[in-house]
Amino acid sequence: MTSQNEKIPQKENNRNSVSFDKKKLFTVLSPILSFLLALIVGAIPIILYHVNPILAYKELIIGAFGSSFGFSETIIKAIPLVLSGLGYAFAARSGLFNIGCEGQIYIGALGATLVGLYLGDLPPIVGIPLCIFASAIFGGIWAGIPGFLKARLGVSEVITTIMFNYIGINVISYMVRGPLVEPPGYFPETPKINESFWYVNLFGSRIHSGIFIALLLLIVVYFILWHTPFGFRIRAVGLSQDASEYIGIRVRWNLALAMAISGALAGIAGANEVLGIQHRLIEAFSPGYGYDAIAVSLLGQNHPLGIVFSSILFSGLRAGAGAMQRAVGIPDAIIKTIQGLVLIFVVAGSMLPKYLERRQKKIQDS
Amino acid sequence: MDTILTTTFIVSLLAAGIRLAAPILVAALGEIFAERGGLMNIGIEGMMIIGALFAVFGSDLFQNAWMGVLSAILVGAIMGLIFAFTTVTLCCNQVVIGMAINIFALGITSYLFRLAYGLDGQTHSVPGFETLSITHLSDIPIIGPIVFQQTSLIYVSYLLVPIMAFILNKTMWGLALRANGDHPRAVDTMGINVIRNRYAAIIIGGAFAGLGGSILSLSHMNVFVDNITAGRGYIALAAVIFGQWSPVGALIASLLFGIADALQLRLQQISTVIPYQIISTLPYVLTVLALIGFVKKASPPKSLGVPYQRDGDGH
Repeated sequence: MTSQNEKIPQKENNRNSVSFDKKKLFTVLSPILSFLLALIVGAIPIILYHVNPILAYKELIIGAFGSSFGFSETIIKAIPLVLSGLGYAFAARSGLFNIGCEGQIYIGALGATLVGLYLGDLPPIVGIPLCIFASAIFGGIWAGIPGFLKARLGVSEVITTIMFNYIGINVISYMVRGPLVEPPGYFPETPKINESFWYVNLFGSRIHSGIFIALLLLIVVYFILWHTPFGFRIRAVGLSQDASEYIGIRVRWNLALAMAISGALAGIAGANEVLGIQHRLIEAFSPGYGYDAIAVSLLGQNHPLGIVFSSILFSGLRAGAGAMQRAVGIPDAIIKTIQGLVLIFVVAGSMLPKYLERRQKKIQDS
Repeated sequence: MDTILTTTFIVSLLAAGIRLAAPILVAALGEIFAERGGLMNIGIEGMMIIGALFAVFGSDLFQNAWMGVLSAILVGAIMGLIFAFTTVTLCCNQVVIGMAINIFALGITSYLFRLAYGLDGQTHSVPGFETLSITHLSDIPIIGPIVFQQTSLIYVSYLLVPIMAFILNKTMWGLALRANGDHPRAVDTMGINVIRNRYAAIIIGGAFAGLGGSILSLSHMNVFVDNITAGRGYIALAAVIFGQWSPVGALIASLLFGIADALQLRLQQISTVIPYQIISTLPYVLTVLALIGFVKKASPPKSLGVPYQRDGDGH
C-alpha cells in the first residue's frame, strides 16, 4: 500500500517534467527548423540564377568557416551583432520594439570617437573604458528619447526609433564631413583615434579584444535579466503591464529605462567598431548591423544564449556571402532574403502549434 | 535667401512637393484601410520597394508603363496576403512580421534586380510616365504649373483620395471595416466575417503600397535602384497617424512631408550655411514631432494591432 502511495506523486512529477521539456525542446528546435526551411525556400532564387543551390551553400559555408580568414571574419562580424542583439533583446523583454539599434550604433560610435579624439592623452586603462562608457551614454540617450516618448506620451516606439535611425545617420554624416573631418577633407571620415586606445588584435588575426567585452556583456545581461529584481521587473512589464502595475511596478519608468539600456548596448556595438576595426568614425560604417540585430535576437528567442548562436549564424552568412558571390556569381543580396525568410518562418513557426490547436478545437466543437 | 522667395522657386517647390508626396499618399491611403481594419503594417516599406521593382519588370516585359503599375499592385496584394495569413490566421506579432517583410524585400529586390539586369545593376530605360500637362488648366498662372503639370499616374493617385474617402465613409463595407478595427467581437456577433474583412483590408493596403512603389520607379525616376524607397514607407505610417486615420488627413500630411522633402533637396543646392544633412533630417524630425503633437488627440482604431481570436480575449 505504501509503495502505491509513493508511486502516485512520482507519476505526476514525471508528467510535468515531460511537458516542460517539450516546450523547451520546441523553443530550441523551432529556430533551427525555420532556418532550414528558409534555406530551402532561399534555394528557389538561386536556382533561378542557374546555380546549384547546394553548391552555392557549400561555398557559403566554406567562405564563412572553411578558412582561418573566413572564420576570423565570421567572429569579427558576430561581435557587433551580439552586442546590438543584446540591446534589442533587452528592450524586447520589456515588451518594446527597439528598431533603432542601427542609429544607436552610429551615435554610440560618435561618443567613442569623441573621447578617442579629444581625450587621447589619457592612459588607455582609463581611456578605453571611458570610450565604451561614452558610447553607452550616447546610445542610451538616443534610445532613451523614444523610450521616454513611449512611456510618457504613448508614442509608438516603433516609428520614433526608425525615424531616429535616419536622423542619427545624417548627424554622423554631417560630423564626419564637417567638424570632425580629417584634413584635408577628401574622405568622409575622422582622423584615427589615439593608437593606445585601439583594441588589441588577438591570434595574429583581425579578431580583437572586443570579443571579451561581448562575452562579458552576454553574462551581465543574462544575470541582470534573470537573477536580479530589476531584471524581474523588466520581464514582468514585458509579460503584462497590467499585472505589473497591479503589483506595484512602475511600468513607465521601467519601460524608459529598458529602452535606454537597450540603446546603451547598441552604442557599445558602435564603440566596438571604432575601437576594434576602423579606429576612426567613417560615414556609413555599419552594413546594417542594427537591423540584423533584430533578426538575430528574434531568432535567438531574445535570450543571450540564443543570441550567441544566431549571431554566429548571421555573421557566417555575411562573411560567406562575398566568397559565394565570387565563386558562383550569386548576388550577396540573397543573404538578406534568407534573413527575412528566417524571421518570417521563426515567428510563424512559433505560432503554428497554437493555430493547429485552435483548428483542432474548432473541428471538435462542430 | 533671395532665390528662395521668388515665385519661380515656390512654384517649382510646390510642384515638386505634390510629386514627391504622391507615393507617401498612396501608401498612406492603403495603410488607412489596413489600420481601420485593425492591422498595423510596418511592412509598407518592403511592399513599396517590391512594388517599385515589379513595376519596372512589368513595364519592361509588356513595354507599357500601366502594365508595370498593374504588376506592382498585384505583387503588393500578394505581399499583403502573406502578411494577412501570418498575422490574422496565425496571429503572429504584426511588428515582427512587418520588419521581416522589409528585410526580405530589401534582399529579394536587390537580388532579382541583378538577376534581370546584371550584377552592376544598370537598367536600360523602361517605359515610364511622362509629364502630362492638362490643356488650358495648366495655363492658369501659378496654380497651373503646380497642380496640372504632373504625370498621369500622379493624377490618378490624387483622385484616389475622394474615392477612398467615399468607400470608407459612405459604403456598408467601409462601415463594417471601421467597426472591425474598433470592436471585432461586436462585428463578429452581427454575423460579419471578421477574418475576411481583415484579409481584404490588408490586401488592399499591400496593393496600394505596391502602387506607391510604382510611382517611385516609373513616374519619378524611370529606374529601379537599391533602397529606392529610403524610408518613405515609414513616413507613410506617420502620415496615417498625423492624418487621424482619414483620407483627407493623410492627403494633408503627405503634402506636408512631400514639400519638406522637396525643400531639403533644393536647399542642398542653394544653402551652404545650414549643412544639407541637417536639412535631410527634416521629414524625419517632422514625423516625430507630428507623432508627439498628435498622439494625444489621435483616436486610433481601438483594436489596432491586436489579433482577433474568437475564443481568445482579443477585444
